[in-house]
Amino acid sequence: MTPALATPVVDPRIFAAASGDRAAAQQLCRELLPRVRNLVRYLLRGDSRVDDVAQEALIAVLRGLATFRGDGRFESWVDRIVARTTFAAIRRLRAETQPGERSAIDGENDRGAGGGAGGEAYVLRRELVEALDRLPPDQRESLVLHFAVGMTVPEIADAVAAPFETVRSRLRLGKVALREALGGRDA
Amino acid sequence: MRDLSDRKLEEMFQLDDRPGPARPADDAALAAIIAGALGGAGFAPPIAARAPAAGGHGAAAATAAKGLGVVKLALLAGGAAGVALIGWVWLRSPAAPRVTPPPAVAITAPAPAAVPPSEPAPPPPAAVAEPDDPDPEIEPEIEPARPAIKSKPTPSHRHPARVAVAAPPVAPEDLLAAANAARVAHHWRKADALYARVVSGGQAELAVQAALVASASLHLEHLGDPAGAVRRFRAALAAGPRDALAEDARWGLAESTRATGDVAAEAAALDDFLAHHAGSPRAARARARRGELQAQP
Repeated sequence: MTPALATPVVDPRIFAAASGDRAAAQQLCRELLPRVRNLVRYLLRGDSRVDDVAQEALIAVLRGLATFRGDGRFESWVDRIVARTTFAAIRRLRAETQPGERSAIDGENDRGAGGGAGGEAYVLRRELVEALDRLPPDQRESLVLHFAVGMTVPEIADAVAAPFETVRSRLRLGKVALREALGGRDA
Repeated sequence: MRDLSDRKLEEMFQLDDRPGPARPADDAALAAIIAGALGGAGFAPPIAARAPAAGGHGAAAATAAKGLGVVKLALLAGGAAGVALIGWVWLRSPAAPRVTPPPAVAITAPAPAAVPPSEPAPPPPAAVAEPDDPDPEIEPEIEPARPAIKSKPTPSHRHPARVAVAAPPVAPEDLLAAANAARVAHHWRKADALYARVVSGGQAELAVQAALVASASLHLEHLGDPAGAVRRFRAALAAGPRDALAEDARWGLAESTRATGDVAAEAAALDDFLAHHAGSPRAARARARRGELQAQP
């Protein structure tokens, strides 16, 4: 007999949305969208493409809902899909860029509107993401996957198809660069 | 001086309810993103939203969805052409959203199993659930249909004959939901039997293909039947070789052929994957594995 306790509790809206319930899907999207936009922005240079890629990521999440197994946090499952979708978008945008042309992923940072609207946390995160914008893409990718998505070094190595030591080195260099950029000195 | 220990960095990066680093967006912009995502994932718009003369929220949602259908999804064209295409699925069918296999399919394939050296030709989707299927636990679940719930038959463009013969009374989205619930509870065979019922029902192409891919991953990952996974992934590809699920099916085919130990079939599957999805996040792994195979004596 399978003990009842072994069955994890999953938000019923996930099943409903996976079964085609638009209202449930809409509710999930409303709740997930801020997180999705923020993760996309951490991964993507500049603000201008964030909403397009966030929408693309939401589509991927909705399409994959039916295969969410409930054996981990739903948000973590979503984060990984968002990261994967964003990487694909970055590659696509990079490929669309002609030689010598400004890269399509080098989006502009929006200035003015909304600045400081979220208080100290918002200001800190803007500083952080603007520092990330100045890092090499590989280091940025490793830092975000580790600190925002919570992936371990072996998981990152697997996700980006890079050797373990390479990822560890990218993380170390990225942290040093980030600390320098943000004016911190604590290790 | 600012403390930037790893712990502080984790706090700064945390994906919580506080704003940032994405710029704040107004409600209309957020609603437009969501409407476009729902349309892109194949969710039918609300009935009220279809009426162009309607006012209030319905009209706003319709406008948002339509505008995004044209503008936002057009931006997805190119590398994400498949995703963009399904943005219009709701125009022809209010079917359940498409399903992709789990995002983290095992990279290390299971140990090779004893299977015939050559796979039979890809069967049509219904063949997976036919009585010659080797899994005895699936069989009894396929044929009978529960009479209590009335189905909503959807015309099939690919299998019109089967629609005329079989009319399962349970809607495929209900079966998929039940299968997914069983999967969450780790009742693999029950889940697989439910997927098989979706396949044998055959009235909704999207659901059939989703069920085939989901069932194939079950056979590969949990049922110890890589040969069955190969058949199902091939059937899913036969049902929609250019569909948005095709990437997952091709990747799954490469993994399951690897698990069967059929090197030639795995190499062919990897070549096919790279020919169709060179920009995929899995392409690097596919190339690396292809290189390993080439280096083998």
